[in-house]
Amino acid sequence: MKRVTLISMIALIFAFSYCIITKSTILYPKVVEAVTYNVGSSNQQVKQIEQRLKQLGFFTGTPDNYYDNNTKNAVIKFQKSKGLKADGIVGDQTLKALNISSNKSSNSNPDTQLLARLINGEGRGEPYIGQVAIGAVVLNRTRDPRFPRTIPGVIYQPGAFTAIADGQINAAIEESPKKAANDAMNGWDPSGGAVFYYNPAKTTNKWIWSRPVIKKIGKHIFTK
Amino acid sequence: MFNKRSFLAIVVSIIIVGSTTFGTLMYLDRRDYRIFLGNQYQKYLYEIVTNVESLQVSLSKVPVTMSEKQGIILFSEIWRQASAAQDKLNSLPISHEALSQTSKFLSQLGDFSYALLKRSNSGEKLSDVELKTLQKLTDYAGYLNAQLHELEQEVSQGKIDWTEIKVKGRTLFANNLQNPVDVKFENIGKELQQYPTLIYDGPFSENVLNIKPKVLNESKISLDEAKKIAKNILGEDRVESIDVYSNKQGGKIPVYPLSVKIKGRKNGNLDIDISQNGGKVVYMLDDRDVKSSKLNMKQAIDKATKYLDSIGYKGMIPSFTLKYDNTALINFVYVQDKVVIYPDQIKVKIALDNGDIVGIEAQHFLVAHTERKLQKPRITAQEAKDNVSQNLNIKNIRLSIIPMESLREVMCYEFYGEYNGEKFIVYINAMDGTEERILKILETPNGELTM
Repeated sequence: MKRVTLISMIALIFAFSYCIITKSTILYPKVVEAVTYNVGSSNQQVKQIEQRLKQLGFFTGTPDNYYDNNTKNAVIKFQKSKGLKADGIVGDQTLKALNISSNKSSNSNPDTQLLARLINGEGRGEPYIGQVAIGAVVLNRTRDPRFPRTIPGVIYQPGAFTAIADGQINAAIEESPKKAANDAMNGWDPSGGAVFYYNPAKTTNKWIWSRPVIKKIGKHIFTK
Repeated sequence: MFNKRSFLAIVVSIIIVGSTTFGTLMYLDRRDYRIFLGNQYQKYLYEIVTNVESLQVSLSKVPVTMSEKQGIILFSEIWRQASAAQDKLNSLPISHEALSQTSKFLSQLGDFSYALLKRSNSGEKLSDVELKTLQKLTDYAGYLNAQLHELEQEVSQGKIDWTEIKVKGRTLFANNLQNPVDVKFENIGKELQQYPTLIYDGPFSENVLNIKPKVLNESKISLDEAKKIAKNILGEDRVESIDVYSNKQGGKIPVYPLSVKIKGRKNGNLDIDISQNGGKVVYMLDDRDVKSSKLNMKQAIDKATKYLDSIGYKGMIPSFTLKYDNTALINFVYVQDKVVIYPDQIKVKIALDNGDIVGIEAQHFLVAHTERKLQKPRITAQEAKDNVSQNLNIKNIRLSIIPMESLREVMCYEFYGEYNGEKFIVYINAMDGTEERILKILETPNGELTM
C-alpha cells in the first residue's frame, strides 16, 4: 500500500515536472514557407531571379515573369558554378546564393503582414467580414487621438489584444486573414468605424459593455 | 527490503532535488525578465516626464515670442515632444480606459502645434483666442507634468511595481480599475477632460473627429427598399435571398447590414451595407476565392467604369489601380465641371477570373460627396507653373480639388511630371499659388502607389 502511494507520488511528480517543462518550451509554429521556383512558375520573383542571373552573365534573354527552359539552363549553370545541387530548381539555397530574399511576400508591406497575423490570431473561424472588421478596428485606432498612431503601435499596445498576450499572433497563418488584411488596408471597413470589439461570451468588463454598439459580426460585438 | 527502500529514497530525493533546482532556475529566469521589463517601463516613464516638462516650457514661451522664426522652432519642439510622450505612454501597461484622455490630450496638442507651425510658416500671426487656448494648454501640461513626477517618485520608492501591474492587468478588458497607475491616470483623465476643444487645420481636430457625413442629409429608406437596392446593385438574376447579418446598428453612417446568398453558390459570402439615408451602398465584399487572372488591368478598368455608370455613379474616372489576390482594385474619383474631386472616391474590386464585381467601398464618397459650388481659380495654369520646380518635366496639367489633412478642400492645379525617371504629382493652390503637396508615384508590380 505504502509502495503504491510512493510510486504514484513519484509518477505525479514526474508528470508535474514534465508538464512544466513542456509548457515552458512549447512555441507556436513559426510562419515559414519553403518557396521553390521551377519551369512553369510565373511571378515577380522569377523576373528578379532572371535579372540577377543576367547580371552575373548566366542568363541571356530579357528578364520576364516566366520561368522557362532558358531560365532553367541558366539556373543549372549558376548552380554548378556555386557547387550547389544542379537541379534547375530555385529553392532557398539557390535564392540565398543569388542574394535574393526568399520572403514569398516580399512585395507586401510589413504592416499588412503584421495585420494579417493579428487577424489570424484574433479572428480565426470568424466570418470573412468579421476578419476584415478586426483589421479595420486597428486602422481606425491609428486615426484616433486616444490610441497609438502606427499599426505596430496599436497592435503591440500592452493589453490591447489577447492574441498578443497569449502568443496566438504567432500561430500558423491561414489564407483568409491575409486577404482580409489586404482589404482592410485598402479601405474596407465592415465595422462601421469601430475602435473596440469584444466577444460577449468571454468578457466581463463593465466598461466595454457600456460602449455604444455599432454592429455584431460573427461572435464579436463592434463598438465605438 | 532495505536495499529497495534506500533505492526508492534515492530516487525520491533525486526527483525532489531536481525539481527544486529546476524551479529555482525558472524563478531566477523569470525574475530576470521581470526586472528587465520593469526597467524598460521605468525608462519610458522617465522619458515621458522629460518630454512633458520640455513641452510645457516651450508652450509657456509662445506668448512672449515675437518672430515667426522662433515660433516655428517652439511649435516644432512641442509637436515633437508631445508625439514622443504619446507614443511612449501607449507602450506602458496602463488600461485604455484610464489612459485614453491623456493620450488624446497629447495627440491633439502635438497636432495643434503642427498646424500652428504651418501657419507661422506662412507668416500668419496667432489670434488672441489662440493665445488664450495656448495659455490653458500650458496649465494642463503643467498639471500632467506634476502628476507624472509624482508617479515617477512612487515607482522609484518601490510603492508601485510595473511588473505587478503587468500580471494583474494583462488584458485591456480583464479587470476594472484596480491598480494604482490606472487609478492615477483615471484621475488625470478627468482633469484633462476640461481642456479647451481644439478646432484647427489637422487630422485630430474636433471638427474632423465629429464630421457629419453628407449622405445623412438624404431621406430615410426602409429595409425592404434597401434589399431592393442591393438586388439592383448585385444583379437581380444572381441573388437568391437576402438576410440581415447584424441586428445592431449604430455607426457614423447608419446602414442596413445585408448578407446575400448568390444563386448556385455553396460557399463564399457576399455582404453589403446599404445606408439608411439615401439607400447608397457603403461597402460590398464578396469573399469568393479568385484562383486565376484572365483579365488584364485595362479590361478590369473598363468593366468597373461601366458598372459604376450602370448603378448610377456618373462622371467617375479611374485614378489609381492595384492588383492583389487575383483581383484588381480600381479607385474612382468624381469629376465636376472638368475639375477632379479627390475627396469623392469610390473603390471597386474586380475578380480577374471572370470580371465579377467582388468589392465596393464608398465610405469616403458618402462622407464628402455633394454638388459643390466651384470657385473660379484666381491664377492661371501658366502662373501656377512658375511655382513648380524647374526639375519637373511636366506631362499633364489639370484642375483638381484635394482634401487637406483636416478634410478642408483646396482647389489646385495638378502637375503630373517626371524627374530622374520617377513620376511625381505637384499640387499648386489655384487661388494663391502655394505649393500644397507633392506626391511621388511608386510603380510596383501590383500597381501604382502614391506616397
